[in-house]
Amino acid sequence: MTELATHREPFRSGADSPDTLVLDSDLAAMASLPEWVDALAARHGLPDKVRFDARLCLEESISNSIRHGYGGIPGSPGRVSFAARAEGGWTFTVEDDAPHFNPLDQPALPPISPDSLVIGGQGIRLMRAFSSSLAYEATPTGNRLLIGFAPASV
Amino acid sequence: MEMTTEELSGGITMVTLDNSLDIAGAAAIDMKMNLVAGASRKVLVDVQKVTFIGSMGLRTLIFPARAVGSKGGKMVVFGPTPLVADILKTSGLDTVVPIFHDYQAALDALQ
Repeated sequence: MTELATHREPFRSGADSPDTLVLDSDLAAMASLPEWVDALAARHGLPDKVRFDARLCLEESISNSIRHGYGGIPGSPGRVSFAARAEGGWTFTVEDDAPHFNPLDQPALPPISPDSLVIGGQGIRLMRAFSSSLAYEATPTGNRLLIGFAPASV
Repeated sequence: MEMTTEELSGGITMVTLDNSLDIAGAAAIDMKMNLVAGASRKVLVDVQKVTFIGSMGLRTLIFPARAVGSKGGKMVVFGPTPLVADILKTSGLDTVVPIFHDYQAALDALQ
């Protein structure tokens, strides 16, 4: 087994659970995300707003990982896992083995306005606005982003 | 993502979007939206059936809106669901593309 394969093996852990989604670093692979979120929301009885907001935050975080972390090059896995918190609320964990990058360290960009010359950077703004909590962890092989949703926010 | 266009009286082009304006949905209609923006000065985008929008979907709306605006025209959005409207407002898109929940008001804004 190569070193690269060893690094990637952990992403296969839990892949047989319906609450875990393993995705290739290819934007086309994200086509499976909506169906996975919808099925998970139905299984766990998530409020519709949490289902919608989770899909938004996952689309932004995963596409960032694929485009910027992996440079848009297919062939590297990432993993999304879901957990209901004992104290209430829900957490989605997005992991990759791309170079370390903390999206929460990036400066807050202004919203779109008639005068703004660039309109990029909305992804992190939307994630901050539509999640209850965001936490970043650098892992030995990549990145982990925890996206929380609280029942009170619904 | 399905996109249809219809020419209304008064030189208004109505674009109807149906389904998800996610990454795949945005990619599917970017070119068509830019073609509409190049050909019309009054654009009404009906998003009543848009079930989701992400940051790439926002770009799909903002670029043609600016293109239309740069030639003295106007683009408006009609009928977002509350969840979609929340994203349009939080992003600030509504400062560039006015949002209407009343169809006649959307038409009037383009006259």
